[in-house]
Amino acid sequence: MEGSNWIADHLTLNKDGEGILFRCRLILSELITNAIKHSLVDNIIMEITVDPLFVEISRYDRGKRFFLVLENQSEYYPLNDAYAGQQIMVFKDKMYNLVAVVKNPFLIDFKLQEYMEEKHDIKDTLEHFGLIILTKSSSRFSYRFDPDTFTNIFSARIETT
Amino acid sequence: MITTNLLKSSMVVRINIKEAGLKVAEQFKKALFDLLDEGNPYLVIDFEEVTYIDSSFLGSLVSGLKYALSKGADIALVNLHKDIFGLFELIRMDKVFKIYSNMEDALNKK
Repeated sequence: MEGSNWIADHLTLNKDGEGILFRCRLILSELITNAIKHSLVDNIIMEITVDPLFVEISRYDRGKRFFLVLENQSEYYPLNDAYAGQQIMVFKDKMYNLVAVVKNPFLIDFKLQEYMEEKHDIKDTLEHFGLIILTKSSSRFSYRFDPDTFTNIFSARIETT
Repeated sequence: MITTNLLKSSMVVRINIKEAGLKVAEQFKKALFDLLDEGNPYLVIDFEEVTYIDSSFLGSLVSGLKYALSKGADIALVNLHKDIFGLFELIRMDKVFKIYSNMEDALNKK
């Protein structure tokens, strides 16, 4: 994948270099797949930032927003101040809870809570893995809505030290 | 996209594309369901040609496995490339699927 080749060329990789590039490939792939499936746009912009301490991969689009659902209602941006710091369930199954931590009215961080059992009953496993892959591959995975430009920004950061 | 071959009473499903992603996920899911509806009790899915899968294709695999188990059938995976096995490990699908490194073991269910 061209994006991960570019990262490899620009990053001084430590002993976990292979692992970092693997995660970058997953993130690039899933951000684009997520856009095709959910954003309903013709154009997206991918931005890759390489820093001595981290790699950050972001996707910008002006398509469908990522909504949180509370008490069966979609919450719009800006999110109510009352939600600041709260963890809001995005989805759950027997293996994972994916929650959104409200950082400010326009920014959420995704966090994964895992149930560590040796064997899992597939019956209760959801079939949507995109956000799980993105969250697990990142040191931090976030969504921000820019109200000035109506832009959705998903950002995945991998710490490299 | 796939070819099938009956071996030792197992249906080997060989994926013949390198990139198994969003575009083919639904088609693949339908193919699995059709094979299970035909009464095949054990599908061995051969990933030897596949160098890339995404979350959509994973979803189709999980859906296929759920359907198989509901019919008293089973699905195993074989010949996963390093990155693909890494993805399964990352999201712990290696605890859900039976994964084999070679066809012989997959067919003998070792």
